[in-house]
Amino acid sequence: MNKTQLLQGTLDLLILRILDLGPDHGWGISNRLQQMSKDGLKTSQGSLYPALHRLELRGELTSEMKASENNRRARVYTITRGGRKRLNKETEAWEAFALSMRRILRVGQ
Amino acid sequence: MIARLLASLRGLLRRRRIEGEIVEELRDHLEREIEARQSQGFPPEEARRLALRDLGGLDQTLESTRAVRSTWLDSVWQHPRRDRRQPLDPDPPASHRTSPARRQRRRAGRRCRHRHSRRSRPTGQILRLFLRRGVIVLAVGIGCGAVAAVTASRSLASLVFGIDVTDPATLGTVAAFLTVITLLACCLPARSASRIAPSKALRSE
Repeated sequence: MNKTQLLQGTLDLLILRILDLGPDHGWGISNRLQQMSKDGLKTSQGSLYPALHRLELRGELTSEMKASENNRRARVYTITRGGRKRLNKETEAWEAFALSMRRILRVGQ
Repeated sequence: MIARLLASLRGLLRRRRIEGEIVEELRDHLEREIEARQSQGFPPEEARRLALRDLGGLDQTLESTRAVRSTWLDSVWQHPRRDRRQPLDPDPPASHRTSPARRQRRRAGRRCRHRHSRRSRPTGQILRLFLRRGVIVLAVGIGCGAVAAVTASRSLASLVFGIDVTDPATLGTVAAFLTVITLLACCLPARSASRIAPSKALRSE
């Protein structure tokens, strides 16, 4: 399957969804995104980090520098209550949008 | 709303520390990516090249992440020689290493460009340039205004009640108010101007 570039505006939603499963660091989020989409989605790692910091400034994530395996320090992100609220709201909106798109694209098939 | 406000405040207070941590974070990402590539069977040099490519350029990623965190305070206090921050890639491949003589030539070239061109001025320098010009106009304006106010005081005396026409507190307050307005009028457009990519500015000309 060809890797598809993310639609604009969906990266925040995907980050929030991945962190809803548990705290993770940037590389882990990028890796999980690829695994969960079965290599179907590709995010530019260059846009991942600005998005993570933007979400933190909006109060939808918190982060902490923690020691990880191999004695390295990594910034671990955790979703907040505000982030979860936005995730639920945007998931509903996205599902409604996807349903409408599917209906339109399948007309006459 | 309160959570967002607190997060912004926290970000503002911790911004110096976070600045260093962004470098550490990206370095960690790069190392993990290199290890993952190596475990897929890529030789070390190729693994590093692919990891750097996937990250979309370390410097660009670093700059765009810093841009998210930066506030107007950073624009004002930014040191003009910010490029002397710690390097991101701790162990660049042999093909990326440069000789001391070449590095010196590059530095000399950069100094030369900074001196003779406005195209690569950092934010702090642009702000200072605008502020310097604004402050000159402000000083002339306040000087002329003060002289005119004192000169016109005799004719204004009949219009003012309960206060001296040359009251220092009133004149001082007006001067302070005008100073704040002038500085804002200089800083805000300078800040916007410094955020425009030089290539875009040149294209629009």
